[in-house]
Amino acid sequence: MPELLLQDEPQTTAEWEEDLPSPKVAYIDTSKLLQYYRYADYLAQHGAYVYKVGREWEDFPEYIVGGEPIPENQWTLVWSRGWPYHAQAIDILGTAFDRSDIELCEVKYAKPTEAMITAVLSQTAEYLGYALQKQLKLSIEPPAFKLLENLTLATVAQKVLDMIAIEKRGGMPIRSVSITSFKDPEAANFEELVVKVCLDCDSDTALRIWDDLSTNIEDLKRDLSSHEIKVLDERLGLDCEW
Amino acid sequence: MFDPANFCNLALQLCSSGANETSLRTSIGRSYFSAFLSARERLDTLGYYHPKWGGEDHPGVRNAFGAIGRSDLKNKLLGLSRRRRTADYNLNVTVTYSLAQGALQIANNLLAEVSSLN
Repeated sequence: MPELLLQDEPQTTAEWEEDLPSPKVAYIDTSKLLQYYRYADYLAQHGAYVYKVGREWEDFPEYIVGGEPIPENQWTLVWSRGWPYHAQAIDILGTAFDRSDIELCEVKYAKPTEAMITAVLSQTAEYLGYALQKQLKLSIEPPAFKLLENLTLATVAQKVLDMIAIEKRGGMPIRSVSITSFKDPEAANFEELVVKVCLDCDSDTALRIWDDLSTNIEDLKRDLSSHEIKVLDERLGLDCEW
Repeated sequence: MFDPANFCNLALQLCSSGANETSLRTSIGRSYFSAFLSARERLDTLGYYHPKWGGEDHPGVRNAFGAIGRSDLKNKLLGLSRRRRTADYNLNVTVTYSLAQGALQIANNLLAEVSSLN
């Protein structure tokens, strides 16, 4: 989960509707921004309006999720009117920049239904820790315990698990995850940690998901040190079963 | 030179819903070696990996995929290797048709990807 520093305590959806558009600013751990952006892409693919705003914040673009399109020159108006869905979305995804200075650069998708908006907001809230999570069912098999004593390997494994958890919350058909170890029979002195993902889908879908998760792992490398990347490449693998 | 992709043809012949466990276990082994040997040769040809011609090539090939940013291939070869270890070494589990079929699908997927690697 992203680490959040909230000005107020987390609220339920019902409470959001009562006190809109009171600002609530969430500062998102920049180490989690990559996942945050991927999640914004996911929301866009599922019918949400996702606005990529032009101003960069600590070298990263911002994404705002909302329920209705915002004309390029009316951002401030929209914000001041506090349209409920925008206000909710901004409450959830808002960041600490000066909103009067936003330039809207990109608008994706159009015309989601109200149900879709509700679903999107529900998922968004969940992602940022405002509601119950769809937790990964995770088990660790005893042979993996010793490998996890390696701090770097454990750290990298945690990042991989975080990524998988996000995908599960995003709807990937993940039944469970287990961590085990693997010794190649022909190279028994070489042991690696295996994150095994059990999927509820057909084989073609599973192979695609395997590719997607592997691509996500490649993306994780951007935030890792060279030592961590080496550990990830040589001592941690991802297996999928279906 | 022998083309290890041909092992996949044998794996396919051995993998059917009515096949006995001996055939299924052998099918998984051939699926693995089809993909592993094809990957080793391709990586060698492209200069991404220099084979040691021994057991260390099994993790070596996987690591080479990781090093060139192909975690997808690394992970699938790992998955195939785990299935092959079960089929060839673990007598305490029943190897099923679905396991062999899955291994064959992974191998075919890998062969296609490896052949287009550049």
